[in-house]
Amino acid sequence: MPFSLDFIVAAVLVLLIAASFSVVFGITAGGIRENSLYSARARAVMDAADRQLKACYPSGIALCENGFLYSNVADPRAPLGPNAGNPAGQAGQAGFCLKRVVLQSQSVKTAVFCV
Amino acid sequence: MISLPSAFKRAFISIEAFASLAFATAFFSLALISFSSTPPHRLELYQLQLAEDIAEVSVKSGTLSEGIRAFARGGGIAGNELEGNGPGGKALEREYSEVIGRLGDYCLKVEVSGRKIEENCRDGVVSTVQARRIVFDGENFVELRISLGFYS
Repeated sequence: MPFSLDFIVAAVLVLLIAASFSVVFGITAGGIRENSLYSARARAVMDAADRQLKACYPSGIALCENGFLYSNVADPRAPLGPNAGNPAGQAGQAGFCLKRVVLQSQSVKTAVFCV
Repeated sequence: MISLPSAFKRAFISIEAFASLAFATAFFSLALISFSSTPPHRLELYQLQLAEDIAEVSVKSGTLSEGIRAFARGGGIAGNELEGNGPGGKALEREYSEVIGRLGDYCLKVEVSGRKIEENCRDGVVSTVQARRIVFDGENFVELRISLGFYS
């Protein structure tokens, strides 16, 4: 039994709406996924930078004297290069980095932290 | 024979119902697009951290804090050619220029006692964050205001 024209028109219109929505959904889902991955990496590197800035050298880069930690002041021996946020042995594996401004030996420097 | 417009009308309870469905789909799609292009909020926190870092090192660095105190009094950095009655700020400007040069393409404004230094500033700043510190210039407490502007 052939379908009526009413049914065919309705089906075509609904399919068009569904298809256009699925295309948009596919594109935006990809965008949301990328944003979420970026956000996760940004959070990881910011947390790593904060931990390193607030931990005494050698476990972090902060200058500590007599049990007192100086915020935003790096120990003169602390490395501030791209591996400032990485433990020894992971050099060169950096991918996602951020910079923070610190004081080291009375001069303003930029510490680079990567994850 | 049934014409296409009348078939279209009969295919749905009403044209309004179809229009509502189409608009709802379009609205939801646009909302999804807008949501997927929203930048992560953590970026704003990082921007604030940078401004706070600069403010913190400004008061802790001997050279910068001395320069800020001299700048607040109307001079440049002590021992500099601009010390005293000079226009002031050139040496301090150089110091901050080095800082911003190492940090990235940001617009830095340093304001002390109504006097201002601007570094790497141009049109196109999309967001600005501020950090403040109180500095003692030898006679009075003055406010140091650091503004960091970010380009798109």
